[in-house]
Amino acid sequence: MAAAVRMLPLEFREALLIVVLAGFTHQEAASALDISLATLIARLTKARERVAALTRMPLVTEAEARAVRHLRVVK
Amino acid sequence: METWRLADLHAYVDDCLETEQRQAFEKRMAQDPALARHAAAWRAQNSAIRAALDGEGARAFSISIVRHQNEVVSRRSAAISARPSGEQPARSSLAAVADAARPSSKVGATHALWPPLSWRLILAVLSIGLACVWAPAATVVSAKGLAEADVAAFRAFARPGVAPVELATGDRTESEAWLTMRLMHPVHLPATPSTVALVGARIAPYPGAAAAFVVYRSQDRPLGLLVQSLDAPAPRAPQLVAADGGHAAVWTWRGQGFALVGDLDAAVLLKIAADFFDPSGEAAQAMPERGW
Repeated sequence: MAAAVRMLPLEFREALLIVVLAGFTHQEAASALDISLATLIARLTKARERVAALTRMPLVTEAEARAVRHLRVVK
Repeated sequence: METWRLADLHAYVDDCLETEQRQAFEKRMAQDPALARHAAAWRAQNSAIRAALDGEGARAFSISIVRHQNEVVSRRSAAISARPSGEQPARSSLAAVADAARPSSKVGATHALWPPLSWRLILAVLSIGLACVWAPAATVVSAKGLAEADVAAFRAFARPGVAPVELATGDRTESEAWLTMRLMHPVHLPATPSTVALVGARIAPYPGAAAAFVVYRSQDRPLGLLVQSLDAPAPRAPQLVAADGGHAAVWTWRGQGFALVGDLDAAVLLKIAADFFDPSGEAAQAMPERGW
């Protein structure tokens, strides 16, 4: 798991760890990283999907992933 | 039907929803098993990340974030300096960043692991200092730096209750391939002496760059071998180096620095290191010794 996180691009790794490890709220994390909330959410999504792929532990089935992808960031 | 956003799913798994929002989201999940499984999976991933990056690992990963925050402060400061003299920012940028960096009371949060921003800034300064100490020209310090990093990794990953490796294998070639792929540079492991058994490998924190950490067993005790690429590749036979109340056998070979740590007598540790370094004279033939 640590290796998978380490392999993430910097911006994805920062977004993920500042929320998961540091305990920042999304708004706080966006402010600390100087990015919009929508950008933070997009990075969190990519980071989580990549970590799941790198650890070869599919989080959900492809159908379930598609079902959730229809949820869009509206801000 | 109420429209849910991807942001709500993230907010739920990261405990950023207020009580009413959380309850509403949980009602939605009760009607949508796929959404519920997705949320559960992301929560499990969060737990796995916290477990994997606890302690030393989290400290190493935090540095890049702190640096990024410092860059944000610098950019904002530069922007303020560029303002016309009569124009004042609505709020101090540094204060804004500091405020933003302060973990607030998350609803239901149970994992606020980070220290305050000031401590993080100190950590960043220390990390930069360590990186400076680890200059290739300061060869004696390089050996000590390797030893300290290995002692820290050994204490973090080889203690009871911690899975010491991410890849469990007794195959040296497989370990090399795994480490090479993750570190994105070639990793060469020495031949395993007959007195020890390869257990597996993992990535370990190291100032400035991650390192390979290979676990062996000897006399039913774990051994930790830290491997880091060096800019100064002169081979050097193992020597004992004191570090943080412990000691490590440190050597270089094939452009890499090695540090071996274990709960063994120093003479035994050094003998094992010597076996790693040159079990058959191969290393000495490949690169004549020139010192640190």
